[in-house]
Amino acid sequence: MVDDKDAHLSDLYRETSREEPPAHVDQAVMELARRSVRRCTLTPFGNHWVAAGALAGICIVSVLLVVLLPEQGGAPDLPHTLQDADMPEPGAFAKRRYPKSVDDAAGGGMSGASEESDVARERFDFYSVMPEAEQQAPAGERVTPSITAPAPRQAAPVPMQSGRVAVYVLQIDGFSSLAQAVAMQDKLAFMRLDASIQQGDGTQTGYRIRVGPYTDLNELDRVQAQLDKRGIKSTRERVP
Amino acid sequence: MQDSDEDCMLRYADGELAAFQVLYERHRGSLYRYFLRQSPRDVAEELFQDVWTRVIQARSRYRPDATFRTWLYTLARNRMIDYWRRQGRDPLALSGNTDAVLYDAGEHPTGNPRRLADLRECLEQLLRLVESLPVLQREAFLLRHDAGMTLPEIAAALDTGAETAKSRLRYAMERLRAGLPEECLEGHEHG
Repeated sequence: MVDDKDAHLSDLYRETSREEPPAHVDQAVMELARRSVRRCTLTPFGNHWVAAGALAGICIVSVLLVVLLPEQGGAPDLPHTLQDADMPEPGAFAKRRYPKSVDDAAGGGMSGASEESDVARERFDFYSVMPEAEQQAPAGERVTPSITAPAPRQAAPVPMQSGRVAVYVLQIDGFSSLAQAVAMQDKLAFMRLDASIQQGDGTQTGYRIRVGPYTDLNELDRVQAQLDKRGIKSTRERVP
Repeated sequence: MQDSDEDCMLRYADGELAAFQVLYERHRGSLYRYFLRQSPRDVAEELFQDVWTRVIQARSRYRPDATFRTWLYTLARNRMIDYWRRQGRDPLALSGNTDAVLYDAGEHPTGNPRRLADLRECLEQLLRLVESLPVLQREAFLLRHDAGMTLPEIAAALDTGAETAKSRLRYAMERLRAGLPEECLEGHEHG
């Protein structure tokens, strides 16, 4: 009797329990799986060139915007004007612990002993995925390319008083290992945010993540609020 | 013959994306519902993605020591526990209690069950009851009836013994039966 009722109950539950993940979640997971396979199958080479290419691309876009804006009759109407005083000074790259969940995402789960090095190797393998990477290499810190496919929407650029376009990124500090930074980068990818990992230079240790670049303050506000909502603390940095 | 989950995972580790697609298709619904029954929808989506991220990141280190499904739900449970802790709850603090205490814990979610003639109402009522089960019983129920796991697999995923897993499942079923009107348990025809 009880068994019969349990069987009916089980049937009833199966009848009602049919929810499935939404399409955008499926797409995000499959995209990550696809990228992950590509990382392994492509031959690694020239990380510095890739990094240099990414930086060069940002610079070229910035210069084009500066050149083109005056020809188009000046800046469009903007919700608010950039003031240098609004922006925080670029902060020192402080070593800070990230919340436990991120550590976990990069750390445990299986045997784990070589996880960090494995993840790091995969990430470096992935560098070779970036196309058109053979650009001139400006000096500076090492930058990894973004892993997300869609670049963030670039709305109206914000001109500074000098006529140059201000370019911003959101910086997330405090990753003591590359694996932690990679885990965060993947998390950001799920949020459809374009992020790159940077390694600290001589006086700074660890890794940091930069989200962007952005030239529209509204977009910057929106993304920072999105990060805050997920408990991810970020600071604004103006790209020189 | 259908490839096992473990074979699919090993093939994905070798770079075969199609093998991952098979795995994902097999488990996406039940894993999503595992989170959905225990957290708000936006949280469920985030935790669901987190688990698959970890699966993807760990593929090269995967060893089929346990079933893939057990491993998947161990990851899922860890993410769920992380979430509960962020909410200031620690469901594992209950682990030391006896199952009898767990069974007695909490008020009956529905009071005296009224008569429900309509199947749809039965379904809605059942979902509410499942979501209001004590955490440890709910886990066991979801792993059995959503993920389709065997008792040994449930015990492994919950990091407990088979007898304990069986007890939790039994108490969950008793609680659901008690909360559901009699006519809901008397043989609806389901498609």
